[in-house]
Amino acid sequence: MCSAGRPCDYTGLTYELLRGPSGIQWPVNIDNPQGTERLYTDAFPWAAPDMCESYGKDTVTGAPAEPAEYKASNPEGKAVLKGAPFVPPHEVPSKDFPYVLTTGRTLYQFHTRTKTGRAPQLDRAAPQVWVEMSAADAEREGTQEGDLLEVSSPRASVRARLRVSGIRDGVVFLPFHYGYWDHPDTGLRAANELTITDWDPLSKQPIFKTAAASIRLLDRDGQQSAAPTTTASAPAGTSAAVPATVGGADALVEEVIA
Amino acid sequence: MSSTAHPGIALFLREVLAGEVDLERELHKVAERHRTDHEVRHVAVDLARWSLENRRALVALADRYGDDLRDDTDPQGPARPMSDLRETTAEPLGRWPEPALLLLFDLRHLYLLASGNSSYWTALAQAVQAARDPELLAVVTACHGRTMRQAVWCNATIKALSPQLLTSL
Repeated sequence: MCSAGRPCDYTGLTYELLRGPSGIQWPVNIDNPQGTERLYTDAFPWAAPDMCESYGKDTVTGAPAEPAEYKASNPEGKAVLKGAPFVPPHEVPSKDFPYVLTTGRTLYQFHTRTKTGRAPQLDRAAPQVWVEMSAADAEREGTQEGDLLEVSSPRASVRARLRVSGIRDGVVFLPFHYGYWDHPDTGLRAANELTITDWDPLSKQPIFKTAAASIRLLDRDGQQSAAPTTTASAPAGTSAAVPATVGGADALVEEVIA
Repeated sequence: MSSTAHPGIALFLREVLAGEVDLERELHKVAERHRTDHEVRHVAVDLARWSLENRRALVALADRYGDDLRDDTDPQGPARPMSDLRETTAEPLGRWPEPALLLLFDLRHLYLLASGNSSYWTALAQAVQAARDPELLAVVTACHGRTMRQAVWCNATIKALSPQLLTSL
């Protein structure tokens, strides 16, 4: 079997065990026929140079470590801690794009909302894109809660209503859950069209936290921002009188454990 | 320590400074030429900064080996003949103008520049130990570590690109 001798060795697994009363914890093999409740009670052997599956990667370049380098630096197979030096962001604020743009999540939605956007209570809690700015930045820009803003980067723009939140001065935030599958006719709301095409070379995670953006006031018509009043998008201070995000009766459940 | 005490060390310090200027310039050129390969583009610019940091760290200490060891070289200035990518890549490329193949040759060239710098650092590390200059040794050792990571990245990227590229022409 392909798992023989590897960390997740399940060569001793049987249909009888699987149909038994509980889950089976690996390794389950000839030495541990009932599985293994607690791993590595004595030592963790899998980082030894002739045992490990990978020699690790460079934290800045993502290049795989060379075998000889790993063997020389970790002959005993101990855990390896790597420092990552500071690397300046690949896009920084400028005269034309004076804000740091970060995009991210809200508690009530997951990624592009293909599931959470179909749950009425979650959809109502965060139905539409918004933009967050600090009270000091909003005052300097002459903008206020609920204003329709255009947020632009060198690549694209989003139109979103302002939530003055507790965010750091100089930073604007856009949630990236809002695209076009449920709003095919509304453009200009996908936040990650503004971010740079860049990723961490080691993990390949996209860079959504360092871009530069500008803002422009488009309209002030008395409408509210769709930002939840809970979590990080809560309105700053006591000045903003915006309707609270609430669950309502249809969000309540009662659990009875027999 | 007087500036004439170790003319050999001064010579190699000058050479590695020039080598770092070359590498920084070529990394920026590769980033610009292959800007649609986003990972290469951004990593190359990050690595170019290491060559700049190496020069700054070295120049802060190296004037004890010679008054002419100043960091007055402009990476944007004219290239030294041996470092110019166009000369080294034009001939083998011949009638293969594929940008991906050009990237492979560019990375190989960067690897050679980084490896060349690495050999300077090796020599300098030994020499400054013999000359009993622990302060400069610490700088040389730190610089050498960054140079090695530059070379390893070039080699690793060549390794990742080659199979598909060289079997699909």
